[in-house]
Amino acid sequence: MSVRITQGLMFSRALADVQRGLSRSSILQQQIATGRRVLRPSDDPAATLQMAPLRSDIADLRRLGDNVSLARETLDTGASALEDASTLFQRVRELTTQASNGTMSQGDRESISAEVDQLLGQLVGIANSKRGDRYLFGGTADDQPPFESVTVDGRTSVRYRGNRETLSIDVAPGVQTELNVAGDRVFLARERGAMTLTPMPGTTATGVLGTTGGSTAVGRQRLDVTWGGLTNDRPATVTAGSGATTALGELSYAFDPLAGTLSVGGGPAIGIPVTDGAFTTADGRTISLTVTGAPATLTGTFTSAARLSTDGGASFTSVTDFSLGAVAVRSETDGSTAYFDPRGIARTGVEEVEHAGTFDAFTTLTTLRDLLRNEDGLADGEVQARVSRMMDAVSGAHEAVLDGLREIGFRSSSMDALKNRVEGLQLSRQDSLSRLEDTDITSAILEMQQQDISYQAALQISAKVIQNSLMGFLR
Amino acid sequence: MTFGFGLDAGLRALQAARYGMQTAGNNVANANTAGYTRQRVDLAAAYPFGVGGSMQVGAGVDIRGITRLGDEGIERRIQLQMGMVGAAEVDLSRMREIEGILGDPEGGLSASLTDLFGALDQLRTDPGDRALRGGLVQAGGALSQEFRMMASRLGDLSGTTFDEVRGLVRQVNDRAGVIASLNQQITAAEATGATANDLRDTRAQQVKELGKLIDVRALERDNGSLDLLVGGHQLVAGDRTTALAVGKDGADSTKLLVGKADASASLKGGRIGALLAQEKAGVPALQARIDELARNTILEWNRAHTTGMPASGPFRSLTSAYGAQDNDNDGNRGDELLSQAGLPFDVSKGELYVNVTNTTTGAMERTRLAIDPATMSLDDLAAALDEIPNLTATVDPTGRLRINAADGHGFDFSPRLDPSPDARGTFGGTQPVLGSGQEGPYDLSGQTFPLSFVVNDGTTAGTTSTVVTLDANDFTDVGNATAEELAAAINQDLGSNGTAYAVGGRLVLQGTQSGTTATLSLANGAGPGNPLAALGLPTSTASGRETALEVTVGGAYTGADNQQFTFVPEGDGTIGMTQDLRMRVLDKEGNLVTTIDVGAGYEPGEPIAVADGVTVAFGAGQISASQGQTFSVDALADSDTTDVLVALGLNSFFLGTSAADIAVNPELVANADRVAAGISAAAGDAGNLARMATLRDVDLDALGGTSIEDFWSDLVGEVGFDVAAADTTLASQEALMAQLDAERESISGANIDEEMVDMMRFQQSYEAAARFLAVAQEMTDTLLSIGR
Repeated sequence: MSVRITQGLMFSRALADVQRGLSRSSILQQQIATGRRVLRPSDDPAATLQMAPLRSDIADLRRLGDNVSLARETLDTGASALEDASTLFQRVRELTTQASNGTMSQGDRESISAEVDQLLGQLVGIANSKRGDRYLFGGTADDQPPFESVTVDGRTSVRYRGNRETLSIDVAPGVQTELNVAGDRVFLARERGAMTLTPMPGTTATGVLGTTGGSTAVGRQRLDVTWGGLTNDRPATVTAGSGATTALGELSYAFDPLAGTLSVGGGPAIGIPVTDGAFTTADGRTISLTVTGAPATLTGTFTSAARLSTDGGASFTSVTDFSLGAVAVRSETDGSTAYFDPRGIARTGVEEVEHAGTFDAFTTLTTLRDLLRNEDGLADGEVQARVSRMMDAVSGAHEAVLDGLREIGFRSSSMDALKNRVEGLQLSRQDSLSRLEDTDITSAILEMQQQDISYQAALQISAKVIQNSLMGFLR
Repeated sequence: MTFGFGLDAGLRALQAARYGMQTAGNNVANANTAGYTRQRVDLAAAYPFGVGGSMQVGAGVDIRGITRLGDEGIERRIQLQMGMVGAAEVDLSRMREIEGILGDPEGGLSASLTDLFGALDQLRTDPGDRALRGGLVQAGGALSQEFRMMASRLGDLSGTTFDEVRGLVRQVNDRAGVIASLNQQITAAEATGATANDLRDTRAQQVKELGKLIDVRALERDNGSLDLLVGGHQLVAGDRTTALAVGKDGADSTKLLVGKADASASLKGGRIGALLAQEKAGVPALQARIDELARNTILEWNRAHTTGMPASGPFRSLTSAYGAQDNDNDGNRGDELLSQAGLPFDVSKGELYVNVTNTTTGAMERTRLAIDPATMSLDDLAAALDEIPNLTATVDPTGRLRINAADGHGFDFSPRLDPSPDARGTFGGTQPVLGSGQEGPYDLSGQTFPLSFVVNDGTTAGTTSTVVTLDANDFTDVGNATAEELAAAINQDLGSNGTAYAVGGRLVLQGTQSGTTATLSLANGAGPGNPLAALGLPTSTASGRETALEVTVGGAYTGADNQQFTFVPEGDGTIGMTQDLRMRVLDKEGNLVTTIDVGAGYEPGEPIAVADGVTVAFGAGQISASQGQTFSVDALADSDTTDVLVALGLNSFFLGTSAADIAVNPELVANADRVAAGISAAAGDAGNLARMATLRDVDLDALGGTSIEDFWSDLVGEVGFDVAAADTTLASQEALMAQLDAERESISGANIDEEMVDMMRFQQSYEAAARFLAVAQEMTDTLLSIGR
């Protein structure tokens, strides 16, 4: 039996067909109007699952792009600060050359010294450069000026208050770049070399030698070697006098019981007992001794202790055992320690200590300034000689700044390539997302038209079929 | 039948044609009536009467009755199918609502999550920036709000089920009443043997409509009345009904009652069944997963945040956001064990490191607290914190933990490296030090207790000698005497004449005087044995120093586990000067990590890489192996392995435990400086943000091995699939319904053409019958005229 068709069925079927066509049209219309193919997860759940990570990737890449720009700007700010520093050092170099010129008078040097002092101030300013509220050269401690200029007893030193931590940010997937170079690497770069001691002009060498390594003192220091009295190995009748003393270290004595005289270090004999007797050794060193009576043995040795100070006497290290290879002398001024070899100490005096390779940017300038001021009253020739020796230090400090500049510059220039890469990645992700999510307008419009035609056809046919009934023919 | 030429038959033919006509008319009239079953006049040849012999003459047509052209099977299937369609409709509309609540793929929670991690990354570029800090707090707030909104809308959706079901139940009861009264009418009408066609149609339609609402089973009785069963319980029995009612069960979900019996469980289809199923399974399952996501986001985010350092530096005081519950009802909240205190997150067994910093000097003292939630109460924790110098901790009446630092001090829980780890000066301090050359625990089992040795502490001018006596009961196991036990026992005897420490598991004694004239020496006591040798302590005399040797630790520890590095010199000498002056670095198990050379060639103050990102720098000075100088530094990956900070809500980012109550800690909202961006207090330190950022890619076991963002997008994707599936289900159920409708129509539907034909046929047969009667009349007249 064939299926009976009733009018009711035909009506409801025609209605359903037309409805279906309309609803498809409405979906297409929405897709075209919004430009999006997936408006709700159920529109294409599989695509929805792929879209979420793409979207988060795109947001990440957009931010990475911003980070690249930020890194570039920050690095460029740093680079321009270091360029300023480099220019500054060129000027220092000129001034150093000028000052080592033989025709300079003390007045000329003092005016150069004033300029160096000014440059020092500028350099501290450059080292404390900021971008926004952040100091560029302080590591992660970037909310306070990393370099602090401290002047104690007329001696200026610059201290680093930052840290060595790096500020790194993501600039591409899996790629990080450091925004900063720690300031101490640029402005406080050192490569400690040997220590040289030079007697101050007009003084005799004390016999103190430098050591290699272990010290933290930088630049130039003044070492005062003074008398520290006698140690306990002296004869009981001999004590330190209050007169002038230059002889240090182990001294021999000889007592002449017949003459009742005592000689020290093979020098002239002096009758004892004596108070504050000025004894002289064979090599011209003096020592003030108070001798109350004959020593127990006719000949022997005793030790004249030394005091070493690198802070002008504010603190000192006593040397009583002259056999030690190294004694530490701490400076109260900058908290640094320097090791000296006291084995050859013979006399008091003042030595100028130079810690080669430790002239950082600031130390170089302060040393130069102080040298040109010539508060020690050195002869012109001596000043010139020392200033010209500073040329190496100036070059070294300048080189450290240039190293920092090259490092920053390299990082900054690599940002261009990164920017392109990040943008390329973002575009490709965007493209994938668009393919998943966006309406293909051309095909959607074509389908819409097709749908329209089918809709029209369905309406027409339905109208025709529904009209047809026996009634029509019976009339 | 003596006098008839079939008048009788003619009359019946007329009647039959008229009935046929009326039935066709009725069919045409009801062509659009829902549930109408077309009717047909059942005609049969009337019983013939004999004329004699073997011949029988037909007696015309007999009208047997008017029957419905229905198929009970199809009707039943339609009724079931309507239930399926009703259920599919409810499912789809619910799923669509849920889909709407989860938000469109571009916005909603997934955008909020991306924004949160985005704000985090942005803050990493400039952790000191107040606006960016605020941005992170705001992004956290937006995420919280998104979670809460979703939770509340899902809750509303669940809540509407009860009202919806109640409305539907009212309809069911109405229809049941109608069916019961139809039952009565049908029984009465059919008692005479007739079939109450139209009443039955109406009833069948009512049952079908009912089927759309609820899963109902129909049983027809012999007397024509129809009984309806819902979940095995009688809804309609003859002319009586049992009203359905709605209620709430223990789990606050809607239940359906037939009389007093609960029929909720056995409902399969229909709108009501679908609504109940959704309420029980669909929405709560989704809510549970969203809650799980919120909970784990809070937990993981806070794990990092609680151990970070706010921009303002160490805390002066902190109060926990959550308090212990008085679960044993003794009026005291502090005595609850941490595992039973009703804290929002579980506390596990492990360690918590607390740092107390002197705000003036920056010196930091780190204390390790061992925490076991099964034996430790909140009061115990407070007491342990309170014992730390310069820290006070109390449990307030609401069960909250309050921690305060003494004036000039601050505390925090960060895992940062202590930049100056030798605060006690057991390595580079100015006081003389004598330490054990070997690592604990020490074997004292061969010694005769009490064991004694003499500590001579003082200066070259004069020393104080103190006899230290060790008893066997000072130790848990004399064969394994730990440095901590020894230090405690020795300090008891030493009083103010020196101090003993346990440094990296080694016993170290320190004199009280400073400077080059300070001395410290040890000698065995009067008793038997050689305790100094057993403890590895030197017998030489140690001198103090003029200035302290600076030890600076830097970098960031990148290891996975909490570690402690102990530094032990290999020889005696001057840093940066003595040839081959080496230092061994040991891990917490005492294994050699590396050996570093601090002798000639080392520039004092230069950082040396140790391991896992940790660097160490030594200032100028001398070190001694023979005197047992040593120091240790904690390198922490996680300064709170117990989650106790998260559970108590100390320095939290998020508060709450689920999607319904997640919120950003109001203290952070009020002051964005409280965002713990760094591990240290340095303004540019984004170490903690970096830890939080790794969360983005971490697959969490608690989330089924997916990351936070993936869990969410998977969930949205699944809901998308579910909606699409529900859509397909509804379409196919509707197609089935249409198929059944077509079948029904094919059997029971009225075709107007057909009825027209019938009408024409009956008209013609009426005309024919009338014609026949006229002929019969003529024949009768003819017959009568014969008789005239």
